[in-house]
Amino acid sequence: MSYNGSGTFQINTTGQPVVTGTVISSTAFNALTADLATGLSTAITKDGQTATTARIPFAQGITSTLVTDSSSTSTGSIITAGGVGIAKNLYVGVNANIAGTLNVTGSTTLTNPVINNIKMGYSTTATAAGTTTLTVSSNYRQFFTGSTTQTIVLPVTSTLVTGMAFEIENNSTGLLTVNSSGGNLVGTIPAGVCAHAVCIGTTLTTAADWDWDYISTSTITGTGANVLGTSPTITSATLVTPALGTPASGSLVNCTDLNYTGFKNRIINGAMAIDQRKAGASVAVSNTDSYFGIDRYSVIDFSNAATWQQLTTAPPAGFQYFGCLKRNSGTSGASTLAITQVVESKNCIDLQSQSVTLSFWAKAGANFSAASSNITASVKTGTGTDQSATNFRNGTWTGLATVVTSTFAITTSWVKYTITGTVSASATQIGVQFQFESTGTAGADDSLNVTGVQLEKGSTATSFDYRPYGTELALCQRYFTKSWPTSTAVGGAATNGYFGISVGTATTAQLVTNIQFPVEMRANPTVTLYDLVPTANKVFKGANGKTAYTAAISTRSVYAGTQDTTSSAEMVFLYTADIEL
Amino acid sequence: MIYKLSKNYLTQEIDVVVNLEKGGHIPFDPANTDYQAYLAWLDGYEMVDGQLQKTSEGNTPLPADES
Repeated sequence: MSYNGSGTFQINTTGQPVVTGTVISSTAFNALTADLATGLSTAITKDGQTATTARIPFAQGITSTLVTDSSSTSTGSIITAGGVGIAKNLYVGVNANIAGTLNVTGSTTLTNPVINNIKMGYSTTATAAGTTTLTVSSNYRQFFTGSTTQTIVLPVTSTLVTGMAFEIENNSTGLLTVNSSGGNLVGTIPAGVCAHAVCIGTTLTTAADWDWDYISTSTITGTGANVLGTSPTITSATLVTPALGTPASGSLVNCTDLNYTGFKNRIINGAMAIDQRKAGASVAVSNTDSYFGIDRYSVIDFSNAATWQQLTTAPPAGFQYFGCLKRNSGTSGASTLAITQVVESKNCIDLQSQSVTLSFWAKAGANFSAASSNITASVKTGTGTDQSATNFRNGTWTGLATVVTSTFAITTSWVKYTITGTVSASATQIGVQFQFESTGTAGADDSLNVTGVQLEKGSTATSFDYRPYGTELALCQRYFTKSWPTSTAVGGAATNGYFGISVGTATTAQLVTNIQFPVEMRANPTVTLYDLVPTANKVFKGANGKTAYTAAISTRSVYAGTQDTTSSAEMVFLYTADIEL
Repeated sequence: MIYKLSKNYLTQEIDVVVNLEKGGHIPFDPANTDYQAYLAWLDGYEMVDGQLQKTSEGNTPLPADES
């Protein structure tokens, strides 16, 4: 043994060390040379004659000045057929050229790498209303083709590292649904759209471990802008000064904040703004349909124990007024209460065979007694001409047909409700009605509150048709007008607004004058004259209480006065003209 | 209900009926719902509890004043 196992060469053969002045025996000498041969044969030769038989530790490393071709696999500083295992960091001062495959199984961080191009893998799946489950080994790009839907389940994030991503492109015509491994929706991808899912956590199975973005659409045309491909649905879009251009066809529906768009609302006084009869005062409602208050609305309460009033306190946003139909507090027993408006035939013929939509705002009083707080909203048509609201409610219109009727459970907050139906081809009249069935004993506020009533052509409720007050008033005056100022209820103090004549000299002859109505009325109206008390069917001639007289009532005017023979030079009266339906 | 006829002093024809209870001078116009109610009243019908009901065999208005 020449080496002691720790690298120390030992001369320990017999006769060693030799002694001065003695004969060195051949045995000792040969033993020494054998030891030396063994030792030299065990050493590494610098010219590469020997191959090492065990791992050689280089405590100070290896330094080579050999200049080699950086692309050579046979002339480099270190050449190994069995690979190089590096226990610590690997530092490459210049270039690292790898002719074969570089396999990295651990997490790799490349700081500011410059990469000319990357070949990313992709997979193509034909949609089949099935499920595609991705794993850590799945390709980055996932293409889906075909014509139906598919569900994609992203990998379990605990098998990934954060930052790993998948690009999912929907080349199918169906919708793709992308879920997390726990079945939570991460996103949906419409046809023609590409999305990007990035793993941002590795502990959850929910969508919270994924960042989701839409990164492209498949169809982009035009100049300097992205143009969506086929019939896109855009939800809650904000368009900044869009230019609509000149579309060849199509319809603009469900647009809010459009200003006066042309009398689309067939309901007159839908915002309950005009109340010529009562000017905001409460009026008792009877069990006979009648136009008690707010213009154009016929109201009934079969129990004779309710009021109808135009109110202004806390209407829904955008409105100043609403109508309140309220049972008298303490009234007991069931009753039917209804609010009705019928549309003049001249204003609804074009609705034949059309979709119509009724929208309205409604709110229940704090003590609303209807079962389940239900009200019924109805749109019905008839085939007659200008039949009455009473006959509409009674169901006795000629050819009565229901366009749509629906029950709504209203609440104590304002809510906009909508119903849609189709008008028959033979309809010549249309009307709407809100009705509820009261129960029990009425509390302090057993009321139905309504405003923003709109009946329009089309299957979508659009923004309310706000019309100028004067315009709405004129529309109402086609059906009811009065000499009192609009802000003064009929029967109110007659300080102004009266008609009359003064003939200079007292006379016992009849005194009659001509009244021109503000707008042409629907048909020849019922005219009621009042003296200054005011008492109906009376006029003032020298004194109140003289029998009123009319003649030649037409849609535009009436002769009105008295044939009373009291001697007077003056005759004065107020009037109403009513031709409601 | 009580109605009274009224004569047009210009034409000497009766063209208005006056509702003496509710008030109102009603022209003879079929499109006027008050006139429709008057015609029903002539036939004995009146509104009762929101329904048109037969209450008599028929009614007659008061005659118009001579003028």
